[in-house]
Amino acid sequence: MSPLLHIEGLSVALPEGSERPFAVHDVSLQVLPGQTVCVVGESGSGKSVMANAVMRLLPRNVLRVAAGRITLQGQDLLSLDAASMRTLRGARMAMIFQEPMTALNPVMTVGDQIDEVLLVHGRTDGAARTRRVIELMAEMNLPEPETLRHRYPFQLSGGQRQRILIAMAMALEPQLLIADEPTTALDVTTQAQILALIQRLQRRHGLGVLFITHDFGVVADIADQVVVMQQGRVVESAGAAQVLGRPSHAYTRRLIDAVPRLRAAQAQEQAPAATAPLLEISRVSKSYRARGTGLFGARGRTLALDDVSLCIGQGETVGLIGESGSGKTTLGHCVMRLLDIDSGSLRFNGQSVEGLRGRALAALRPQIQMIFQDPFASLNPRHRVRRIITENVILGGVSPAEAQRRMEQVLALVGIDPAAVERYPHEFSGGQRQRIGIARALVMQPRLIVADEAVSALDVSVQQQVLALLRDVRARLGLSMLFITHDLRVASQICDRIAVMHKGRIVETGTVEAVARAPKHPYTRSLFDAMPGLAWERRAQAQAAEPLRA
Amino acid sequence: MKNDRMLLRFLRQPAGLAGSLMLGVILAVAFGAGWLYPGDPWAMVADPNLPPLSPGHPFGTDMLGRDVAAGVAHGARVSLLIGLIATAIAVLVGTVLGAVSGYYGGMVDDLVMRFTEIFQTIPGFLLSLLMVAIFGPSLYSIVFAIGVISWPSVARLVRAEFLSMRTRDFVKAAVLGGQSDARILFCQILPNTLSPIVVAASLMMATAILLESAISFLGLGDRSMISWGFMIGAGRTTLLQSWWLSALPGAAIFVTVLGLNFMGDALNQTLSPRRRPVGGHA
Repeated sequence: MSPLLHIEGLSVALPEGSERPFAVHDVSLQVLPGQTVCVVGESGSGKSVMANAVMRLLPRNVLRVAAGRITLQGQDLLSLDAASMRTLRGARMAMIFQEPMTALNPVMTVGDQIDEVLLVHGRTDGAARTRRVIELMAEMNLPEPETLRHRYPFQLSGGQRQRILIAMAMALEPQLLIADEPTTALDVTTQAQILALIQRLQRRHGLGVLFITHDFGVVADIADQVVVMQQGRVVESAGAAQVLGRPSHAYTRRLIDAVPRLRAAQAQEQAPAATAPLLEISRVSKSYRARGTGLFGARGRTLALDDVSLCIGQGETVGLIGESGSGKTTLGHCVMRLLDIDSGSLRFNGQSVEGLRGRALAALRPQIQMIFQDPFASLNPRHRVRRIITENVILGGVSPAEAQRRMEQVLALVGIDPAAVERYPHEFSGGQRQRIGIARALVMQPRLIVADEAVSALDVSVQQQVLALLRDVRARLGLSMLFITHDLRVASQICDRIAVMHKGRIVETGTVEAVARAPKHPYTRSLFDAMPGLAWERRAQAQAAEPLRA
Repeated sequence: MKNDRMLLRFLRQPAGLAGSLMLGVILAVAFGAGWLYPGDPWAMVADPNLPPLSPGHPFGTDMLGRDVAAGVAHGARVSLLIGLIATAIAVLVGTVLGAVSGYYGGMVDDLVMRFTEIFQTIPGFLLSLLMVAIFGPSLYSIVFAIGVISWPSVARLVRAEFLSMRTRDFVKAAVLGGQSDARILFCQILPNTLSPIVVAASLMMATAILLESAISFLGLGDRSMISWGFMIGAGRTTLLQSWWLSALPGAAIFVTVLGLNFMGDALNQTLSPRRRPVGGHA
């Protein structure tokens, strides 16, 4: 079979003075009709640049194709003029993006946006176009296409918006679909649905898919061929079974080893001691005032937390699992007293804390610290690391010499060179920044740490290191932790118990093992079923168990 | 090290270089006025109505024999002083109100913003004329009047910046660290909003100089100090006979305002360079 898309020796040059000369260096790959090729790599590996080069969407004057050929069904894409390239985009190859909210025009109804794709490619019959729009939306499993097409992007959920984008991409029945991290911004259950949709479209239309992702679970679920990229180069390229089962390159092995697994052993490793609870959340409710003209024009209050109760023991780590909008971050903020609760009670170390104000609250603050999700937003870009770490303790009445000593201690603990404290945050990588954020929390000598998606924004290998660090400091300092995440596997790596949140309620709590073996609530079950790469993980576990049995 | 590079980047831009040169010349003239033209610029020193490039009087003289060059040089002091002080007042008031409004939100925000709108809905120039007329024409009343009509735009700008900054995680971290509100406002958030404020201030200074000129042109300026606006106003009756009386001070205003605008643009480019659009999740 002749390849649909053929990239040969593609190099894309970065502007002078960048950290490396090429964003993409000597990359070759093929996509056959009906095949899914997954391009995997960590951030900065050049995988998005490569995809944008195929669509000829590279920013001019910044990124320049230095060498190589890209052909679509034998037609050379790099030498085409702008007009013929426009007729190809959409008609024969299409692209979907990571963030469907920014990829859609906010002031146009979604139906009009699909319609526009047809219109600019010369479909002049309005009635036929409308029929096609409805047909496409129905094919994407969107509910009630007739009414939904008159909605604006902000009125749709993230999954629905991504379906609209896929409908736009599929409108002219292209042969090649380029998907750039299309499910990264979505919840796991939505992700599973979108992946299933793409696979169904592929089977029905014989589509070739170039799928860019950082998630090996997703790769295991959908890939036929896998291309692993590192620093702009292809380090490994082979069939999915081969790459996932017997990776040949050291980098690939490292990436695969870093993928978090469901660890059921955690419970035996560290049985939570039956001590007096450090934090008791009992029957807490919290509601927000809804926006004036919501979806149904109703003005009311949305219940973010509905009668939530949870205990965290001394030295225990409890995972709070749920999708976006389930209320888990709100609960975290209430625990840290960044938000006031409407009803219920919060007891910390036996003391009732929900009504604390002023000086009493200031005395509580150091004991509950937080680790944030985005290491780029959580450090003040205008302050040096020394100030970021020591400012709060010095303000809390600790002498500068003592603050210096504590800072050196926590820096050693989190693995940051103490000589680096005179630098600004932007001089550090994402993983290092996260370590600095952890140091800032630890230097206050807290008893409870609330980690809100603390590793979600990190690459897998860095994620693994930060999780190991958190496990280490927790054991050494005897910390309790409320670990908020959407990722069951990550939770299983560090939590003694997990609590599953759904629509503001805690629907299930228990040890990871117990919940994983027999999820009681249907929502918990769907969360486990939606985990990407589940089959691959089971296979790998079976393989690992095999030699033992023999 | 870092500041050196910033300065270099600023001067590498044509606008930055041109703006600095223009303002440099005006500043030099303003500082050197007492040395270049000692004595009173109001004094009659030569025959009336000498054209420009007359010996000893490069800018000519006016209908009373006063040296125009001396007037322009001394006027530079007044214009720059008024521009600088009025801008400082506006930025100070606007930043404090905008910061408080944006950070606290809710009722505080509503109150401050409605108060700001009172000033925004009254035509600014008329309000400043009215104030100068009521308080009497003096340097202080002019600075005050210009400051009063200039702060609302700063307040709106700063409020918008603080609105987006207050949700950042590093602000939450400061709250959790037990920092006081004032400290979070001025030590954590404010440094991150300085670049738009500096840019706005440089452009605002140009507007302030224009406003002062307009007030003086209408004869409401401080009579004890010569200013560019007054010179243009005084020369307008003989514009057809002695064009240089109005044109040369006008040119001085033009150069100053253009220089400030250039500097504002260049500062904008230097302080907030658009992030290079290299693929995000590559």
